Amino acid sequence: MAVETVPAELAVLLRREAMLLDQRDYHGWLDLFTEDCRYWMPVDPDAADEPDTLCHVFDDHARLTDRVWRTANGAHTEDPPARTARVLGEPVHLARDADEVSCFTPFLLLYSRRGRQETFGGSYQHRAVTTPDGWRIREKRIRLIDGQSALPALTIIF
Amino acid sequence: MTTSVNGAEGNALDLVLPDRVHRDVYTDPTVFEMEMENIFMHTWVYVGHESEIARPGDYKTTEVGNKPVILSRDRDGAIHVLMNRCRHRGATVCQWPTGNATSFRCRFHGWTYDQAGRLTGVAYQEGYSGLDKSALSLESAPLVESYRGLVFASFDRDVPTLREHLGPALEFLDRFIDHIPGHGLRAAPQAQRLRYPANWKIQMENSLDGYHANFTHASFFSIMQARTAQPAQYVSAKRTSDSVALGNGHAMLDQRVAAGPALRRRLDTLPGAPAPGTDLDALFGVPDGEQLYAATPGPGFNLAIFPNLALVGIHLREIHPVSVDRTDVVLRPMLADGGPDPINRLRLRYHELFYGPSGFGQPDDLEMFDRIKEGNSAGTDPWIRLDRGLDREVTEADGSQRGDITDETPQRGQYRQWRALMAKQW
Ligand code: FES
Ligand SMILES: [Fe+2]
Repeated sequence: MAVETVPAELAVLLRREAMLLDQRDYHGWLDLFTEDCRYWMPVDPDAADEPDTLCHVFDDHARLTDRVWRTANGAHTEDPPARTARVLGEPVHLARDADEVSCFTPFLLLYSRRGRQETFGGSYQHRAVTTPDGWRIREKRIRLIDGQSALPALTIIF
Repeated sequence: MTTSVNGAEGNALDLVLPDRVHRDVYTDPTVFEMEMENIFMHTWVYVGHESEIARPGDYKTTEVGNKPVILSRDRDGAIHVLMNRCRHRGATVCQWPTGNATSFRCRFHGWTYDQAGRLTGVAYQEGYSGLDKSALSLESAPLVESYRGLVFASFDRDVPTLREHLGPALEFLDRFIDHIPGHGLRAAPQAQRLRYPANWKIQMENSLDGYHANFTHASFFSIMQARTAQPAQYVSAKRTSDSVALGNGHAMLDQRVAAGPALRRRLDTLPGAPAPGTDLDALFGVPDGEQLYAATPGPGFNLAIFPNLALVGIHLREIHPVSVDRTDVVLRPMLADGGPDPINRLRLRYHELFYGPSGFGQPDDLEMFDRIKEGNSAGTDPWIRLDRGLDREVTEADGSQRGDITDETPQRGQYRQWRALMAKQW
């Protein structure tokens, strides 16, 4: 069986996405998403891919826009802001459906704020679509391996 | 009953005055150990909702104070609260957060207990002479009772009945339990768990703090103002609503006037919210779609049941003291039992808007808890002030105290109960 690989431009987009977040360019990051996007993190990393489950984050484009504003400008937990550094694994192609590709990317995220360091890990599941402007993200699901553990405030964007 | 107060030998009771508490109540390990004993082992403690252990054999692991326990339903439907500690050499006998089991087997040397905690099997028992298995049950709470689905346990038999204990709060407990027309409550299958590096009582106080919202949650109100044109302030200097110390340490923060209409408008911002003008009866497939949807933000007040439970929004909030400077908080949204899936989905989206580690509100509370921890030891004034509204507080005929929503009336009531339990010689 031929194993499909993630399109090269999409792999570049994923690395660029991580860079924008680590640089705290949240508005630039938001531009990578489609208007009908979903950005979400279920409590249970193994939860089925449907919305009938409690999530730490469940955003449509409007709520994601609010989140970007809050992380960039409003939250006391980002005053002063956290720094993050993330390391992505090689994206794995999961499925192709017409103009859409889904892929799985392991991540490790180091978090530092006011002398406290945390480590978060898990995987991203992206559903991306080709548009006249290039690849855009229609869905980003975060599987946080600590999703069911006791968590500190997580107002950074994953 | 002595403890260190600023290095000197002092009495824990001197740390709590009617209008202020000493900063050591948040930091002194001796005070914490006393609380785990005098409070958590000698009063009713909330342990879970019956829907979490609905079928015979269902269990969940949780804590009473900082002690690991199993909440277990036996084959006859009776509920038990068992210390999760093997009577042989102390290992936990159950490790899963939830499950269904006919017995609990300690994997260290194989001792086995039934769902009620009775020791039923000892490996190679002939190595013991005259082992009395009946004396080696898992230790259990002698009193376990439910109030309309909410399960409480007491490790002390000599306490007022659960009804007496909850009495002053029953009116509001009932309103919460009945807030969805035509449906009872069912716990969501998942819960969020938060942690913060400070004392458990800071969360206890905060669940009933009407003074902080405009400031701690300024960003949330800005977002909601932009999205729904609701006022940017939650309260003003003008008296709009009340806070009440109900008695027995329970308290209530009434947001029905301060936030009621705004709560309804917030629903329009939920991902997947029905567009304004949608026929909600048809959408949800029920004759009372509008009433069902209108109940999505909950009953509109915060209720705290001393010492470890709060009912906020639509969730049950459990406080789990881990150590003097570490606390876990569990948030379990309540859904409409037997209600339409789309309604329950929207209830989850409503909860996630403000609460949890990534909500638009609660992280800022955790940040303030951190800042208390950071600042608290500085300076020569050791007092945490809880005197706001003391002079305008009114004592009602039923003995409760009523203040403005921004007053520290609830916290004063909580510490009165704290003091009463800490003062008792057990
Ligand atoms: S500690 Fe449980 S059987 Fe030995
Ligand atoms: Fe708050």
